[in-house]
Amino acid sequence: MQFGLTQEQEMFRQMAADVAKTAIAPKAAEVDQTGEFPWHVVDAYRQQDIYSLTVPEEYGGAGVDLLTFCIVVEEIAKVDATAAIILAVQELGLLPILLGGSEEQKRKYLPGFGSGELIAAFGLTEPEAGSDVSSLKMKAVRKGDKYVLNGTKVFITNGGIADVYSIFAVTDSEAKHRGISAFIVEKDTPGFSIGKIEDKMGIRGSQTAELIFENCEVPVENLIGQEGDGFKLAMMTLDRTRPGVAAQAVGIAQGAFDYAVQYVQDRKQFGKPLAAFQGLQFMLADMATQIESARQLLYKAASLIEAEGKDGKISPYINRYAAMAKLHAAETAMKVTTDAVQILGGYGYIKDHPVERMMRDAKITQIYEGTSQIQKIVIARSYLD
Amino acid sequence: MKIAVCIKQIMDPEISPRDFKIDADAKNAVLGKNPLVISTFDENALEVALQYVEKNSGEITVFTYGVAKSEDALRKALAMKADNAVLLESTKEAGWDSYQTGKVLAEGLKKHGPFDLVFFGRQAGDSDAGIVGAVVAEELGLPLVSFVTTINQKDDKVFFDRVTDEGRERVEASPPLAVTVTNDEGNTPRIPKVKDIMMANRKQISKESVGELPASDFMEIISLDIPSSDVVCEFLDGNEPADKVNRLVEKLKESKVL
Repeated sequence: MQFGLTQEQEMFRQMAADVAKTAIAPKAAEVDQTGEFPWHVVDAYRQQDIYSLTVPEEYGGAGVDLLTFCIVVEEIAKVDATAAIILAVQELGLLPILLGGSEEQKRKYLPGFGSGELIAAFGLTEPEAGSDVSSLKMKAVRKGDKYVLNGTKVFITNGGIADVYSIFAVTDSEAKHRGISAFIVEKDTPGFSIGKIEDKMGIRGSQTAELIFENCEVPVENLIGQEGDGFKLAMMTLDRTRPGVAAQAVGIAQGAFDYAVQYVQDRKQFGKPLAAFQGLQFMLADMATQIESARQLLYKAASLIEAEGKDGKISPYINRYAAMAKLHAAETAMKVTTDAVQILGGYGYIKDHPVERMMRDAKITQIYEGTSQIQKIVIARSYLD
Repeated sequence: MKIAVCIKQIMDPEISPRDFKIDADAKNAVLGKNPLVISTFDENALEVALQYVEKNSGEITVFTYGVAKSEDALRKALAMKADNAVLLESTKEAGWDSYQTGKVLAEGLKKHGPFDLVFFGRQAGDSDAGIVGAVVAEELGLPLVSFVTTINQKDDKVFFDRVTDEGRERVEASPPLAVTVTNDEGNTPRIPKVKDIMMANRKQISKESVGELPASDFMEIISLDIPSSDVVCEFLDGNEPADKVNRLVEKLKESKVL
């Protein structure tokens, strides 16, 4: 078993660190405060070809492995979780097409996703269907050579920003989750509009919106795979994107830890640096150990998914390890950022230091792409079913 | 235009001062877990060469003299879009003798040359000696244009913008020649792009052993240490600002600052 990164992975890590430092970190606090979508981050990703990372080479991408992608997301999340999710969501939005799309659909959309000319989003969650995906209400009714979509999606990352959406809707309400289908919806399609833009606790620069479909007609060639493939596609997509969220969580935790380590060496109380107090040393030791264990589980999950998940194969291990990696990383991010705020004391609670933002950002990693509780159900079922 | 850029791999100068340690017996800095990077001005030099080739034409070969690990620096240079890379591989870390380093580089350049332009950073980010470029120019019998920030070509004339003590000047010079580069807003090193990193890892790096060079008979480091900086803060008495200024002037005269 190898534990080191390859020279190429190390170069990608360094590249991401440089982009994070020069193009993302300087405005991270401002983006958090204004809540405005950071187009400068998108520009930086386009400039550096970062969107091309996971798009296969035959569709104009770089086609790197999932671990390399996670390393890049982690490195960016060290300075800004918003920028990290903007990258991870591109992957979430394009994966249904990559995993289940026709050759024609892949040729039409993947090169644009890879260059960043097209921004992607993934529309699954509804007001009545959060963790319980099988309760989807949104309908897609076939009418000649079109499907007519009616319903509402909520909490959609990149909603109103994206050019192309992967949307999940019910084509056969009798068949429960086997009646769900996936569609490609372009932003200017008549009948499709953006509703409420959410005002969030964290990742405030990432736009989260309601999507409204009112007699929205999409051509039949926009169906991804066959009718009824939607649920399977959504689950396969989430198995591959959960490590991206885990990477975001590990990055947030590492960023907060690094800041706390600097702080305890600079700040003096009772005539000595905080670093000299064993109580705080124990906290740092716990934080570092949790981060490293979360990172190792993430790297293992990413490597395993890459090795087992070729050609859309479904393996119970993918499901299990993706859930474990996300669960452990998200819990670690919340714990470590909370402790980082504690170590900084009053300074940790104000916006002059980034750990306050990191703690708010960390919370979402326990919620989106499956809550921590859902991850536990997935993990348990992988042993019991 | 056939272009060579000579780069050095050094310990990242941006590490925290806390992480910088000296081994007094070995008379060297302790690398520890600190990262290695391309020396800052050498990256500026590569950027100037890349911009020149992009605007005009040419082929860039990057050279470094160092141990096997120096390959990482060359790989990054390739990812920045240099065309070829040559590692003049030593079995032992290159010492601080810039003259010896210059001679090794000059031999490598002769073997792969001749080059029209040979670039260097104005000085290494660790030793700050600023000698290698001049030594190589001398060894190769090339004129040297120093402290260059930008190069422009018009017809067959090459113009070099350089920084001087008085300001800036533009000189015209005809290749072949050697160039040392200083940093400037216009030559901030680019960050390698995703696809260029992939291509760089598919390229071959030419490795040529130079073995272990004999100890320098030219220079010896007697001692190496981190300068101590004791800061003492003294508050000056006085009721009026003018009194305080007078006291301050006295103090500065006492300590021979004024």
